[in-house]
Amino acid sequence: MTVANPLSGGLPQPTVYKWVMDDVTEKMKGSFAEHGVGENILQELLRTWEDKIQRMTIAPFPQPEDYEGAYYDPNEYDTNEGLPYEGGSGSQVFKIQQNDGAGDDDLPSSAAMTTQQIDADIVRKWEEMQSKTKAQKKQKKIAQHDGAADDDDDDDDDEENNDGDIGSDLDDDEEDDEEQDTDNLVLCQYEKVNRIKNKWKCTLKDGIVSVGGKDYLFNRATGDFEW
Amino acid sequence: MSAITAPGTSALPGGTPIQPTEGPTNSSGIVPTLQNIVATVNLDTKLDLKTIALHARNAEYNPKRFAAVIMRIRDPKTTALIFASGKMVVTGAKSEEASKLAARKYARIIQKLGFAAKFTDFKIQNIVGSCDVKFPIRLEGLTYAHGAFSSYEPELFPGLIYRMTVPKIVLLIFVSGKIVLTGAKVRQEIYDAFDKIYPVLLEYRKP
Amino acid sequence: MAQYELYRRSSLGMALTDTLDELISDSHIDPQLAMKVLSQFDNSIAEALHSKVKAKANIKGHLHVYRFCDDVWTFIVENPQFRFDGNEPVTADKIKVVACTAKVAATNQPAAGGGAGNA
Repeated sequence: MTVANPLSGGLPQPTVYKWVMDDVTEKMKGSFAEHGVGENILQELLRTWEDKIQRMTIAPFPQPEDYEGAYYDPNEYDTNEGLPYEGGSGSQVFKIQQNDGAGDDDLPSSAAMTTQQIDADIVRKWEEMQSKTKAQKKQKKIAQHDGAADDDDDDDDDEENNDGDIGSDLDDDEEDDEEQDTDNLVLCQYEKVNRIKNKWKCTLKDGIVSVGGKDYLFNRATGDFEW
Repeated sequence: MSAITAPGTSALPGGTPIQPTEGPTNSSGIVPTLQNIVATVNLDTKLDLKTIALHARNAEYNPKRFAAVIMRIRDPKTTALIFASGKMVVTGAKSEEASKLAARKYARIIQKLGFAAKFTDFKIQNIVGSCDVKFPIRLEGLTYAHGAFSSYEPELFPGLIYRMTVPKIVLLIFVSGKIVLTGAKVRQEIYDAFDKIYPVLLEYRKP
Repeated sequence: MAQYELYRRSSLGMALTDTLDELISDSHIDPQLAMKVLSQFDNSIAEALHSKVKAKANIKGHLHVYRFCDDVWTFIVENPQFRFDGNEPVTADKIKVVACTAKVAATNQPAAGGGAGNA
């Protein structure tokens, strides 16, 4: 198995994923305790999560026996390298408004709610989020129609093709392949997006690239596109 | 082409009517090329710009900067500014038909998103043409002799701005012999303006 | 530094979400705790990409569709070619790029970006 991402001073992708899984698990210990959930459940979470990632074969992990050597050793590299990272607790979570699969609407103000109501609301929110994610997954399989006025056969019989008419004769063929949701996905942040005529140049950072069933990570990337 | 076959009537500054023409009549054989057509249309329905931006392709919406969706299509290669009022501005087409076809395509895209878009009041607001007379021009001399119509301030802008009154066209004349003509509602005005300026350009041709 | 829910769509995020869903179904945890795990994930993945990853990449291709709305750019790129640190290029027939603004992330001031972060 090949390691997808070269080191170049950073960590290879599987190691970064392992770091994230360990970091989440480590930082959630307190919350699990507060919720009265045993640490064995947290360990199960970690195990199941790792299993799923391994089965995706996006991140080729070494076998458990060589875990310790192969994985993140805090002394192995300098965490202060690069831009200083402003800690998690004080920083803000910025919600994006597009359908990213996560619940977009904020929880109602908890001041006016009983604990039961809040819990019920969270359950509802979680279920919503899950069904959205599942719907998204489904869409990938089924050829998607945009739903809007696909069936307007009535103006297909363009009588005279009057100048002022706006009917389906105006549709470009390419339009019907719609967004054709692909499994290949880049999730990242942009610093700059510039266009000159049909040439686009983008400066991107902190990206997860998923292509051909494999994941790659980048700290910075440039995009050169022709529209 | 309606804009060609319906000849524009224009007159010389002195009030002498000139013959309507159907194309270039000057001796140069040069025909200005249409570079850009700006047209407006009223879709006659209120639009939710965010819905459009989220669902249409090749759309940009940044209400903090500009209160319209900017959308592009490849054929005819154009850009549309779409306002919440239902008014739309289409730019970039190279001919009147292309402009209208593009406007109808944008209207159709919006209609497919579920808006009751109609296609009303399509109007060409500006036609821009350009050409190259292929000889250098003495802009100082020209601006001196045609002071009432021209302004030439090379420190501000390298071209001479010539405001013709009939037809009402603004010409940008560059020392290289490149000419840009703008302000026309019909293409005939571009042709007429060029025919009218050409003898003047010859007069101020650099030796 | 901003954390986005964006990365929950990654394979790592999806695997976590599925795991949490299973734990909820088995009544091991409640959704409230699952939400906390996800926001911790937002933090951890952001830190990882920011400070543990050094790779530089270049993406070229035909921009089939672009979109800008709510400070998010979406690109559908046909025949993309990726280069990671000058390695052999990786290709695909099509890829979707979803990018949030890095601006708020860089300034770390809640006021910056005119409240762009609020849904």
